[in-house]
Amino acid sequence: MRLSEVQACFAQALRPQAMASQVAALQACLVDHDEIPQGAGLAVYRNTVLGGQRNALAGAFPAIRRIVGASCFKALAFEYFCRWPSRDPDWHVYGARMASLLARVVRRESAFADMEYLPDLARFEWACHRAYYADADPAFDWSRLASLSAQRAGDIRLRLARHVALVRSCYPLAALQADAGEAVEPFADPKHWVVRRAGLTVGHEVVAAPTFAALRAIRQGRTLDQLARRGLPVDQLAQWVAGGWVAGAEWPPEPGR
Amino acid sequence: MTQRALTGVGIGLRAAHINAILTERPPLPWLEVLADNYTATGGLPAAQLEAVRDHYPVALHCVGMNLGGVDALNWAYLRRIKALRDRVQPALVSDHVCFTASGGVDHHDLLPLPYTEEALTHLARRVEQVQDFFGQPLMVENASAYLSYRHSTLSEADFLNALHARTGCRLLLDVNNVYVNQRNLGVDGSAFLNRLNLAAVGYVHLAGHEDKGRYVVDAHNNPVAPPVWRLFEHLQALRSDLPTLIEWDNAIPPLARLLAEAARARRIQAAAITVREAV
Repeated sequence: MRLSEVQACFAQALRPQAMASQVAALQACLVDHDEIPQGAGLAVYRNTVLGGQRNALAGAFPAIRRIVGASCFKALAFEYFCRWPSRDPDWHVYGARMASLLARVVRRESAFADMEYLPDLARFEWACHRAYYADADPAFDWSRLASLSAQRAGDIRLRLARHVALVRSCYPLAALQADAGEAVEPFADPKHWVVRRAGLTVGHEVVAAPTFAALRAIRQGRTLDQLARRGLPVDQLAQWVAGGWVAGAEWPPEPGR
Repeated sequence: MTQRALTGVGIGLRAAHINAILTERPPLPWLEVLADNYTATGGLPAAQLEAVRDHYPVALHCVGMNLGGVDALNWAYLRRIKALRDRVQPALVSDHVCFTASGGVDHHDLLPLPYTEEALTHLARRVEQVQDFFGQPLMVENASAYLSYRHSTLSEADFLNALHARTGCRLLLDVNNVYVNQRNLGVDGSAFLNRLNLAAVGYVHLAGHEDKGRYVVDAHNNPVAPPVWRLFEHLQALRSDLPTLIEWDNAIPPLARLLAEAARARRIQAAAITVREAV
């Protein structure tokens, strides 16, 4: 049996949805040990794989787990794994689609009828998780901007820091994450959070809607001119830089150079 | 930053112990770091590792190179590990003799290879590729297993010896894994150690396992078990100068418990050296 066949066979048998024939195909190439039955051996690997991804998701979504309970979270993690197995050796990037899964589950399961906030909470927790593990941004020399003409300054595209994420929701996400025990009453108007790392600590703050829109436009690659034309508060740039929300800038080369 | 060759008995650095290690500075000769948890260049983990690195030599231990896998090597992952290596300047970098991904899916487990000429050739080529990329020899660890393949034609020891001979890689000898394979697969642990090219071994792992009765699971959730200590003593009779590390990954106890395990390993090594010198 070729190495590629062994590994494909093993991978098929590891899947929770593996058919008996796929498990049998792996077992056919295994030694019968007196010490450990083939089924038990495969079960050890399956448990490790499933347990690892469940732990990864539990690490990223502690509030979701607390709210739905350990057994329900285990079922969610199982469904997540069946839909989206890990495709990266780094566990810390596993879980990006949890909000999407929870949106499906909330629509599908009547038991979740009063938990419509779960997808937004998942987005919030994921933003915090990614902020914790985000790479540092390269240092940027802001004095370079001083040499730009006013005309060229409008072409500047700012770069949000890697640890910054933007979350908008009508639900009290920060209170839910902190287990503040408050009733989950939706706000009349959505709130806008900036999730970011300050020093070594991940935190978040509520910002005004125009600030949020400006930061989102920056993330989308809009220039300062484009922000200004939309009436967005570009005059807050110094605050964003000081807070570490904006980590750099770029602009097109001068014509003819 | 402290960079020197590893000697003596260290422990695996775990998040639960970092504050204690940074404040108490226990007299450990070195620490092993799970590289995959520290590839981010910013934030708390990076800052903690930098602080630890200021006081202790470290080894980087990886679990995601997929050295035995047939999928293409994950160069994005390897670049991150290499960048971490460049930042941390570890004494060495290690991973396992296994496959961890297939068909584009990462299993995040150390899945066993058949011990065949084809697997050896494939593994050796990839170890060489990674060594070329890193510009240094890699350490590769013998894996624990819960099954084995009918079509294997080599013993595990011969497979590892040949891998070393073909690539120049060093071996990371996990004595608990030797015992796990003895219990689960009937491989005689002492005979394995006798057969292994111990001159190729760079350092040693000791860990606890979970005894399920008929078989054991390499869970790293217990103290080193008596039969594993006995295998370690057997190893000392063959070679007693190897840097050694206590691993404990689940149900992690207070730091003092790990330090006690490390002290026991040190005593066993010292006794072996005393006996050898007396002879």
